[in-house]
Amino acid sequence: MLFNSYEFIFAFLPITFLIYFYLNNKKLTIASKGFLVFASLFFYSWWNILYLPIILSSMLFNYSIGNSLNKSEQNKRVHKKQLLTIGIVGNLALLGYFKYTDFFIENFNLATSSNVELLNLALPLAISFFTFQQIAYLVDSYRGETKEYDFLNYAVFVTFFPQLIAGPIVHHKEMMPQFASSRNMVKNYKNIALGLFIFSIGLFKKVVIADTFAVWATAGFDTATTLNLFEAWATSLSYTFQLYFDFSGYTDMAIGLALLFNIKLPINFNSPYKATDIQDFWRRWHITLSRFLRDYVYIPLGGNKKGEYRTYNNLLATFIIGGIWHGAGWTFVFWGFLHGVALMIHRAWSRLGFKLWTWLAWLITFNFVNIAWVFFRAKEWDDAVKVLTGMLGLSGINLPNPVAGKLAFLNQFGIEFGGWVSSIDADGGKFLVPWLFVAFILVLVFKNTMQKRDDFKLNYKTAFLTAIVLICGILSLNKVSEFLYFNF
Amino acid sequence: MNGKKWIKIVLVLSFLGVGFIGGVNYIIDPYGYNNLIKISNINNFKYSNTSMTARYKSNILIKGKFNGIMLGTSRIGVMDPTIVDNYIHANTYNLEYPGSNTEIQNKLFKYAIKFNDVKYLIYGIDFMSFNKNRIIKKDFQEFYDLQSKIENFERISNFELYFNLNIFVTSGKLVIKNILGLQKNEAIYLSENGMRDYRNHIEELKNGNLKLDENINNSIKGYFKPDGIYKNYKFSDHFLNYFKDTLSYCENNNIKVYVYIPPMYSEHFDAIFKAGYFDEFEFFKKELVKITDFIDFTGHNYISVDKVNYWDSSHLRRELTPIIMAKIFNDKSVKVPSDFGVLVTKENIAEHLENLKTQIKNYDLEKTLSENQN
Repeated sequence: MLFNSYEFIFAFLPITFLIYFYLNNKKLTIASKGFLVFASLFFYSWWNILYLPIILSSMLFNYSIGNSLNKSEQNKRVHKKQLLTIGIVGNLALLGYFKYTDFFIENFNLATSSNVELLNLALPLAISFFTFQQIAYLVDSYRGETKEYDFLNYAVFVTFFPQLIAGPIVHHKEMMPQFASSRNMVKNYKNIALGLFIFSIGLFKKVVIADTFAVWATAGFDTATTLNLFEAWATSLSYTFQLYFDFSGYTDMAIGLALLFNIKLPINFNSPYKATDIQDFWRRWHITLSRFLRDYVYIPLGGNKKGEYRTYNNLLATFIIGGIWHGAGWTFVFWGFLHGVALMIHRAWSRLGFKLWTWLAWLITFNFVNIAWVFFRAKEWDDAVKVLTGMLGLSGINLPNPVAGKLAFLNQFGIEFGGWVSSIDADGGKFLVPWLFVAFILVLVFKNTMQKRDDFKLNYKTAFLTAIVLICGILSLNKVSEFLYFNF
Repeated sequence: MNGKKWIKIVLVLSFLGVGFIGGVNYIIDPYGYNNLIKISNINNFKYSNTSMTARYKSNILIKGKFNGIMLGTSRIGVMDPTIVDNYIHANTYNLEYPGSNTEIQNKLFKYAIKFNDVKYLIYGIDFMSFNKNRIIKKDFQEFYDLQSKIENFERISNFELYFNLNIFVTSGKLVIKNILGLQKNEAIYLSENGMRDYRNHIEELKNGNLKLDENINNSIKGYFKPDGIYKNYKFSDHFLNYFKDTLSYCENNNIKVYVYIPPMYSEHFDAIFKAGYFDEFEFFKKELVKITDFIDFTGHNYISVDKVNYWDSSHLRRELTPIIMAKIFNDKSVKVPSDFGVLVTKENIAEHLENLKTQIKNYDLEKTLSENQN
């Protein structure tokens, strides 16, 4: 079930909300938690009930290992380490089987000229997210940072529907006390209002902004055969904005929904396109993934404690892992590699004490991120090459017809007039150009949702604004589309 | 303000806002979907419903009243199903989807079959439906938005049509244009049989202001401009497979099929040669005849050289339906010009193509394309 669907907004959410607080009101707290797990699993199974056994067995497996880790005594470190290893390997095996088997077979076939048949497995929804979340739980349990809870509580932690499908990736220790708190079992109108406010903004970002850019991005990446200079830039920028408004919209909706149940999810985006260096970008983009990669990959690899050379290696390895987590493909690996290299360069640059003007630093960072997204989005290398070739002007430069009179002399340089964005937009850029302009303003000038959350006040102004964005969101549900991060 | 009051305000405002917009859309009904309320100078002139073909036609098809289906692009849309009814003694629906490729046609046809006891398919097949390079989803956005529902044979709800911000903007524009007297008749599908009614052109013809030459030139531009329908024409096996699938489905389900290529205006035919697509055009027919015999109405013939038979370079007038159908159903009682329509088989395809080649006349495509280019 999608957050941006009629059935979710008008049926699932109100029913779940009312029953959950009704049960809490009757002091049936275990029943309310049980109901929340049931509702979340129903929400998950809506796509495909065949996925249900996978998530249930994954939860049982991790709960058993985590519980054993919690029960193991301090002096049995070897035993704990073995348990942790089994747990991590088990999780990675599950993820690897569903997500990476075909990728491995394809490359094996290519390398050995063999013809092993692909398994063509459907990727179970949210597997990347719930696997990482549970690996973090196991490591935290190993480190003694988790308390012991029963399976019901654990099930709420993993399946809680606002963050089940695409995060934010949460820690056991930041969620469990919230689920256990009796204060959180009572309706809190301030939280509900705030949740409604954030959810409405998220819905607007997804269905009004991201889905609008999706049309141009899809046309440019998937259907156009060649792209001229403007088409290629409009394509890449469309995807850059689509991805941000889609994923941050989803996260806002998740954070807003959780607040309805008095649960505070961690911040996941902090105006990433305002970043002035690549490290800054990763402190602002998909923050909970960055946190996971830092705590459970980069630091265990040695972080920056084992000398300069190892630090650079660790950075690169962490981002390549981050790349492949997003998808089983060389384009994702290369995207991770690019970001790893950028972070290495940034580190070297900073250590040498160089500084740039802020505007230039932003320009370089934004363009790097924008170009790197081309590899992230492209289904095939050829698609990435097509877009990048266009961005370099190697597939031709076309200008709009209205300027043909004044700039006719440019013809001699091979510049043509007419059809300047025709491969991606049948309206000749009438909407595309203003939308790109507005998107730049939104990401660079406006406060982000989390800043709005912190400034939030209960007054007529916020009530009217929330109603307007909610109305716009609801009235744009007709173009229902999945969230981009559902694919990862 | 306390939280409870704030929530009440938001929910009440949202409910009223959504209800108001839904209500306005329902009443104004800018695409003539329900045609329930007509207010003079407000909404009596509507936008064409041909931009929402899949939604409009699927809602009629699910009623299950049809035994014959006419399938193809808008070139068959102007053909009158009541003429076909006389030949097949059935109730025929015109399942035109403008400019469609064979994939869209295949999926709509199967949707029609699901709800109707179809015994006849009259399939007008077009060169444009096989262009590999014309796959930009935006061209058929309306179809692709509903694709999964069509593939799963689901009922397409009108709910999302009324509770829709874009339609609200459209409603507003329509009301303003009606008030200012700027909105005219537009082509629409007839609700009873799906046929395209060019009431705009009929009115223009009646008033003596039909700009036929301009329509023809604009239509040719639409096909041959760099981002037009024939953009970088390359014949697509993918679309051919959909065509094969439609025909084999009919064979397996005892559905009698009649295939024909509708007659485009002769200058359009000449322009295909001028644009360098004639090899592909011939290849299209050669591939077609491997699958089925068909009647080819293209080329220069008594009907296609006379522009008064057309509304533009593609669309015949309704009055031509009887002779097209007489040729297709081999009705000797109707006088059909002897050069109009050739039954093409594996045996005569080579000769037929050779004959068509001799008919090509020089056409100044560059001049047409450069006229008032914007």
